[in-house]
Amino acid sequence: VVSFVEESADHRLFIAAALVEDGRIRHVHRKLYLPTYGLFDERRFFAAGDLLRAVPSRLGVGVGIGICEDFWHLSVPQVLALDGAHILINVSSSPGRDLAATNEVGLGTATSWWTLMRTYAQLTTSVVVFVNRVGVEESISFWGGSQVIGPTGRSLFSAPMFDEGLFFVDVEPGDIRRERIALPLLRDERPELIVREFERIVAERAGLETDATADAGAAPGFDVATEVSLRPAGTTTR
Amino acid sequence: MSDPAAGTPLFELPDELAIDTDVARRLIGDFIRGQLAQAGFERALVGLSGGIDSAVVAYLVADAIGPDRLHCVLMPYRSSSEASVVDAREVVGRLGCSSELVEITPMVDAIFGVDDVPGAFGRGGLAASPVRRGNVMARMRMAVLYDRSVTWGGLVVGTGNKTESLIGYTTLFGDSACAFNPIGDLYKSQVRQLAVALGVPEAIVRKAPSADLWPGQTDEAEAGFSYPQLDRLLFWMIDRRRSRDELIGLGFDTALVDRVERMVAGAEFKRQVPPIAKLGPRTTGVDYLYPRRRPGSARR
Repeated sequence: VVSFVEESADHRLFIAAALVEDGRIRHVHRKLYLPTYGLFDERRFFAAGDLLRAVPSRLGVGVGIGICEDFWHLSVPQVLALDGAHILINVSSSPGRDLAATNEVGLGTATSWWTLMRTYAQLTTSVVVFVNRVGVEESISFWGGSQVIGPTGRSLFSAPMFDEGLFFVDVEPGDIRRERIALPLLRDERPELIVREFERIVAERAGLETDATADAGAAPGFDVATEVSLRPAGTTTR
Repeated sequence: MSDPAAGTPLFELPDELAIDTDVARRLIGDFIRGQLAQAGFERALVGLSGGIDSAVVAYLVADAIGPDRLHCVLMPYRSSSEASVVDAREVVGRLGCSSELVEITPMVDAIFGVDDVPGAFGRGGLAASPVRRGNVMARMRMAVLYDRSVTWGGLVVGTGNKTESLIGYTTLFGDSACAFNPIGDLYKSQVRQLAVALGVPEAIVRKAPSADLWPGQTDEAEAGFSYPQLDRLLFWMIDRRRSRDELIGLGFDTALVDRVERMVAGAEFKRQVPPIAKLGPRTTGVDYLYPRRRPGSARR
């Protein structure tokens, strides 16, 4: 899996990662979620991808790729697992911050990431491969700490923090099968339920349907009745 | 003779400010090496005052690139305390780096005058306030460091901490001038914690922080609050984004909260690059946005 900037035929720039096997590109994932807050500024320069697909690998397993912030959105690992991924691969450039001594490993960012990756492995009963950049750019330190986590949430491999390296980790597909049969979370997922509820929420947020859970008197698209009255578009005040 | 300081903690560290110093040293070491590499430099220099901030930076740089690539410049003024030079020399001796002493007295006195003999500013200069004198001293030190940057062939490493940057206790284009700053995101209390981890001489960790602009001056007496108190307030105000009412709810003194909020807002100009009037199609800092260091930017 290699990451790069992709320019599309219509000249949009995407943050992308490709799955390469036998000398050819099997799949390109375009980053879906572009953080543009705090220290991040990605949406200013890049276009967001619109496709989320798991793809078969020649290794006989399904692979799902996400890029960094993609895995801070709960639905991404879930969709990839439901789409057939056994192995979820996240390539990251995570800027390290928060040195509070109370942190597990002295770096708040590392604890956050590992917690999320472990949670996804458990909830999707998949292998999660988290590959994080190492090095310094401008003010920012990328902290490494890559991990491979098994479908039970057990860590199979931890790379050192802050040091570069090339590591090989063996993953046993039988472990994924065993876990998915013993703990059939994926079997019991209800995508049709999620789709229905998401469609309802989207329509309500857009003001196209009455919000079933909103306060009485709330304006279209709002859950909470505000004290300030919202005027229909086109009206003016003096 | 018993040591009056024996048994007392070296410094006060509020719980919420405690950092993992091993991680900090690792990140800062990589940062220093990365900054130098990206700029195409192998050497660095630090203006050593005898205080804790510059001592910590000297230790960090020596740690990161080796003491043989570090040059420390001591730049006392005639009113600087004797202990400052002694403590600075102790740092140089322990690190085994090269150093030199450049008196800024003739430079500063040539501007303001001395003993009723006017300098470049005429008679009015003789009555210059301590703030004006302090600013010129800081800027003379900057001028010396940037000259030595050429002769030593190294980058000037900044020594300002987060506390003084936030409240604006720094001279623009003076002590704040640097190529990069490894401790600018650490509060004073955290710099002290790091100093102990690095083995900075105890006398430097213990002594009251001072800009050393006039005899007996201390930061805390001048500002009217203690660093641990101020650091805690700034941490909750800036890092934890607490509002004025929430800060008061946390037990901070109302007058202190208001005063510090004013100081932080009033010093914004010291922390930002001066704005350029937007006239052309691409303007530096507005819509011409590149990393400082990128392919081709290194000196060699």
